[in-house]
Amino acid sequence: MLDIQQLTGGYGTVPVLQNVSFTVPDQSIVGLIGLNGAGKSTTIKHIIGLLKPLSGKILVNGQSLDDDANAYHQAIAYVPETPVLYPELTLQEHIDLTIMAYDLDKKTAWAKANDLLAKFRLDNKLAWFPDNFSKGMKQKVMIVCAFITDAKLFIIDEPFTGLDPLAVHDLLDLVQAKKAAGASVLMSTHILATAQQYADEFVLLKAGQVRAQGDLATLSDKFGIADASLDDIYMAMSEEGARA
Amino acid sequence: MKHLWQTRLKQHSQAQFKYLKLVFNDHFVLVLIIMLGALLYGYSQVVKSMTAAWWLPGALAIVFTALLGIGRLASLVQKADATFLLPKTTEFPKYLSKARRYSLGLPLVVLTFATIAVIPMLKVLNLQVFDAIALGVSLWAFKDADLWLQVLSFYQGAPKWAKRRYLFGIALIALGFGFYIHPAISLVVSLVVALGLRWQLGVWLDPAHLDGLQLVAAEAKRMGQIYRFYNLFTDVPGLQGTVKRRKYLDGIAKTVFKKQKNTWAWLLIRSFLRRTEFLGLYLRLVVIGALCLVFVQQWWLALLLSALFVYLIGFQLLPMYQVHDDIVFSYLYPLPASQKPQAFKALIGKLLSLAAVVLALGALAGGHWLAAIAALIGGLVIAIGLAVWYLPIRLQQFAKARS
Repeated sequence: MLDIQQLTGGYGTVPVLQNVSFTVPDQSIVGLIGLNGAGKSTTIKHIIGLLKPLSGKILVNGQSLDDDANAYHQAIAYVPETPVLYPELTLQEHIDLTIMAYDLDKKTAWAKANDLLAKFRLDNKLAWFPDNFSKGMKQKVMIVCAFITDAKLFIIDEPFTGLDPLAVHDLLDLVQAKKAAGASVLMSTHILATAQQYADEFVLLKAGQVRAQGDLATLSDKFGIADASLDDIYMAMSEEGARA
Repeated sequence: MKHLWQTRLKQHSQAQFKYLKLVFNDHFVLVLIIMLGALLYGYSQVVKSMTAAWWLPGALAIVFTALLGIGRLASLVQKADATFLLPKTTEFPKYLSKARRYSLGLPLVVLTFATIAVIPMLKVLNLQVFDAIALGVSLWAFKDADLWLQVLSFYQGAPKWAKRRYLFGIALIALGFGFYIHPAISLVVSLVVALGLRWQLGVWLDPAHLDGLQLVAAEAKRMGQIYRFYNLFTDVPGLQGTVKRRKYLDGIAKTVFKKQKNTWAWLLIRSFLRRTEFLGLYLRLVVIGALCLVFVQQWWLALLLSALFVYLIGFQLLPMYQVHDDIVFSYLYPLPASQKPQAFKALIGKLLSLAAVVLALGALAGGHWLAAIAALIGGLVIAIGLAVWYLPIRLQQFAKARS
């Protein structure tokens, strides 16, 4: 679904990412793991097209951004780490805007939206400005707007901080439902236990490079730790840096 | 705390200086000097023909009370202070008292100049220079008390009567008596108020009761107003207006139908109607322009004025194109890149044409047919010229600056 080949890029001419290559297979959940500053958010910014690669290729559903920008964007739904909303739009209008921009069928999209709004206990706040909500509630709005689209690839940047445990649970249900329906998910997170439980594969980023990719068994092998948890592997990876 | 205040003041002065240099550019200074000269000449003419009418002292009392309102507490606190300066709560009053003293400077200069300016009028009322000094000192004392009250308003333990509006009430009455009977009255009242307030102050300035969040909010609002003023002359980065729901305008917003090809038009009309920095400005300029045109008889002047107002309005609306630049979704929606500039051009074209029509109606209300037609033509030419010719160039510059 997502195929990143030899991506080098960053802000301006200073590369943050060096030759990053990894894939998100169809119908899978991939966790993007790394320390602060390892390049997770930069990678995501490249995928959604906010940053242009210095070299390398990013293919979503076999297409690059330059091939067909509209089709590329249509295939992606994004939930940012810090919620960003249009201050002049009500909650209802945010959903209207999403429906318009992605040209979704009004009835089915609103049916999905109402479902999600009820789940996140936002259904009585349709006429409010979500820009004034708390961080967790804003994040829920972002999730609703992302999950009513028919995107093939969901990119979720650190979704678990700020959400209450109930909402985390609901989000994970949604992610799995999307996977079952044929979509793929790339999720960056620091909550390793949750990632280990729900993701099929992991991409470990370190200092702008991919240290390893694979499921837990593969990673255990690579780091030479038998029956390792994601936490063990993460600690092993961060200590490598201390030695080098 | 002393050091912190000095650093803040330095940063503040540098920022203000930078913007003031942009505001008072050569053309503007020239216009100001000419206007000031005209104003002084007009004033001298008025004073020459002035008699001691019964309402004059009252009017002076009202004007000076209004002048007392100028000058807010410039605390220069920043948002993070509410958190980071929490351990320094006990020392904060020292900082605030420095801020208060600094805030006193500009109003005292203004009040002094106002007092000097009014001396010729006092002569009409048979008052002497010595009386003007008494008036000046009483204004200073009232302003001093006012700024203490402003500081006090951020302390939760302050008594209910410690409000600015009560002070202005007392000032109005005292100044009234001062002008009608004898300036010594207002001098005595103001000194009693100011000294009495200072004497009692220590009781209420309990550090534990300082409302830091309110202080931060008030300062942010004050700086926002200053920056919005600067923004009329130059681009102030990071200036954020607020949003009002204005449900009564939904009828206008709903004239754009919900279709994918209308996405940007749908969003932009809501930005115009609900963001505080655009609609208010638009209405104000249109109304002022229309009122000006009521009194214009010459067709060529109407043409120029209408063109000028439409041009001004158009320029003030330009930043609306960039208000969504920080919202990542503006770049992610699967929409053709040309949709946003087209929607913006269409909206600006409509708004400016409407402005031209209203301006022409102003001239028509004055009963000047020819001026009305000229105003309509002048306004429409600029409206269409801006939307069709100028905007594409400018929007391309915006896009370049971003990438």
